[in-house]
Amino acid sequence: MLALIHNTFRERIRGKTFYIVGFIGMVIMLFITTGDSNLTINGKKVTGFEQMVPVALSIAGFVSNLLAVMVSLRTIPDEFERKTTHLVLIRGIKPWQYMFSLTVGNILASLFCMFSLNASLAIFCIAYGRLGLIIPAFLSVAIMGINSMFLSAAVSVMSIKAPVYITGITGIFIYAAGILHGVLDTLANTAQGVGAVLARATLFLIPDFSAVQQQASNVLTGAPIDPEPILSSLILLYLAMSLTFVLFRKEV
Amino acid sequence: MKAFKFVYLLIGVLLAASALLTSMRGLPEEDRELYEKACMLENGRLEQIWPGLYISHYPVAIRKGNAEYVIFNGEIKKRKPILPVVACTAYPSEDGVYILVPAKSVMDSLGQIIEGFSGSFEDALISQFSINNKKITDNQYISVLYHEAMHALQLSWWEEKITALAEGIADAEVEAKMAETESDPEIQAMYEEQVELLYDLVVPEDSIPDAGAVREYFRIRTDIQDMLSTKAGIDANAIKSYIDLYELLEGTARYVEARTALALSDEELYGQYLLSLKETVYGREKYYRSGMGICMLLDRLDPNWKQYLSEGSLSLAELLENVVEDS
Amino acid sequence: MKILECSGLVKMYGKVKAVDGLSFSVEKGELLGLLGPNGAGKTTTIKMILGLTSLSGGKVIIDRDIKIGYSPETPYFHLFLTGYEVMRFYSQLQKLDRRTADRQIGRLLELTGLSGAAGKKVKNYSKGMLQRLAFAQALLGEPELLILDEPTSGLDAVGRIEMLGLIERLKYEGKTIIINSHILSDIEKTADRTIIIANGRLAGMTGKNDLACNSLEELFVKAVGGVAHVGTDT
Repeated sequence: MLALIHNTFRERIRGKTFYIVGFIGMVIMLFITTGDSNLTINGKKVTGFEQMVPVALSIAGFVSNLLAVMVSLRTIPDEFERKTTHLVLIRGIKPWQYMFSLTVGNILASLFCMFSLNASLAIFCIAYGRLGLIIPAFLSVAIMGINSMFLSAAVSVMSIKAPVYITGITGIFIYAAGILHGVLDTLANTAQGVGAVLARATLFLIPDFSAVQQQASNVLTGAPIDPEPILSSLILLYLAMSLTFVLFRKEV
Repeated sequence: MKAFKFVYLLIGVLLAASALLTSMRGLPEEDRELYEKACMLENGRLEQIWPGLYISHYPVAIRKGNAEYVIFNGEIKKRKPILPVVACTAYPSEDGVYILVPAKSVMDSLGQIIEGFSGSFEDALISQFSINNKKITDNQYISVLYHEAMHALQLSWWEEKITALAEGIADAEVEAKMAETESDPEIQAMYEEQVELLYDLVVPEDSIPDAGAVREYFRIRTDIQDMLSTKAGIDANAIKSYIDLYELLEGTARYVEARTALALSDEELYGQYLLSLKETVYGREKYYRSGMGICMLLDRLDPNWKQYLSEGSLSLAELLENVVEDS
Repeated sequence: MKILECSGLVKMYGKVKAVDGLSFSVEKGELLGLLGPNGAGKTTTIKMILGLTSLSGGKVIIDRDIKIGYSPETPYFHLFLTGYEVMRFYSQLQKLDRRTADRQIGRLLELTGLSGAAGKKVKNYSKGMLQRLAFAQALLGEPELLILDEPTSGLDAVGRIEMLGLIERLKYEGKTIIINSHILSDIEKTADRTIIIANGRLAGMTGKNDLACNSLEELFVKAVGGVAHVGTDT
């Protein structure tokens, strides 16, 4: 399985991808951390390096999550379409091992993209003499990585059965619902009826990306971390990955 | 493969156990801390807010997810929510009046919803995708707690007063007809004049309000009510009762919110409440603000006004009129 | 000794019966040729034997522990890998240790004439090179049963001769081989026995069925129907 995971990771992350993603990350960080930008949040101008860091992480997180969907979208369908499945399955690799490995490969590739995007933040922390921010920023990115991991796993699992375009749209929908989870959950709880029940049921299966991001922010600000959203997301990730044990295409 | 399966299963068990332990923690730390901070104001700062308004005298039920955590007498008990929907309110029950509020994280979401509808789309999007998307500050949350505590006090001590006013607007169509009519351009222009005047009266806090300006405020107020009565076809007394009721209930509660911000030394938040006085809004919200403004004027005219209001039968507006006449 | 037995194989794709009650067996050390027109069901039969597709009916009896090597008709590899990396990847899937894998990879790439191209990315390989690589990876782990689907496809004349020579050599080394090919002469040269599949059914077999035919071509034509271009005086 490790060979499959490694192979998938390598295919998703080619030399050019790393450099392009890293370059985008550098540009984002440079733009935000120079301090002369006219970036405003809630009508207030964002200045100061410590204020910039959460903004930079937010934007990098947004791009990373979209990349997680893109990176994971075609891995499994491509294996079936180009029939590379044949030479794998005849070697005693069970279908569940195959799907699980491809999914793990996707997850690792998504995490790689996330860390690549944020890697330049470390450089800027050093350049601005804010060495104390490096470790909290790293931990913050690691926590946000949970969102990318889930998105990648969900898209990978869906792609086993569903057409690529449906998987892609659903992946984006899951991301949006995850980010708006708190808002949607509150709306569902302020309403009654079948719609509200369905909404709550759907939201139950989608992690609260927003709450996880909040914990990432808490790491930066030194506020207490609530483990509940992190654990909930990890459990849903675990369940998503477990679906690879039972899902496979009939015809290879 | 056996080792892999064992490890994978173990991870699942560990995750499930951790989640179970976490869910048994009860009320989130953040909400517990905010409640305690709110209660700390009872030590010497209540006079700034409303005398006798003790949050700790009422059970506070903080709703998170499908559970409520009731804090009272130093204990926290978990129970099923008594309301089917998330709400911010004071709720009378057999064993007393409860203060029902959502958890801070839920309030943040509610704040995001409000911003999504009232702010710019870009702002809403940026703040939603931000890793720190707190929409309600801690002090705002505490202010809201005191707002609902004020309702609890009203339910406990002002029942007769409220009933008397409510009888005057027994017809449920009063509000609907007022809502239809108030968008009339002539009435809107008068509302704008009224709120500007109120704001100009309230904001210079270190001076006594000019009696003439207050009378002018009431003149415009009466004109608006008369015009509403004529155009909507509603009895003028019903309109007056309606406005008096909401200024009493919600105006004082909004006033308590603002005073809580001041007690918390949050000048910025207090300033936002003051600024809201000169915004023209539709519906009941305008009486929340006008009621707050009248309370602030009364603060500068008569230090005992709260006592008169609690013990007497006058509305806020009538109290202000009397005080101005007496001065 | 039978190494593989297929009994009453049926494969349905919707309402279409791709394989219809096919039965045959393969003896250990035998080279069995599979012959048939396009769409006869040969590749489907191979996929059923390999477990790449489910059976709609019948059964495949094969030793669970037998090592199988498979060279597909149209080989697909991860294009970003080099020839060596492809072999290495498959050797890892087969859990070959590093030393054994490197030894076998070196030998097999040499055998198939790909040593010089081992460092090139597969996306730059010609069709013939891809076919050789397919053959090379099929031999990883020293399988006992080899299933070759159109092994000479894409090869030039010299390549074909070399490939057929390799196949013969493997046969003499004791490997059991199943070859699926549409090139009659290839099958005729190498196979101990040939079965002819048409419309998903067994249409003929040499060595077992005496159809009084002079050549495999005659047998093939007779089995599938059509005009024989027999270059004889009869």
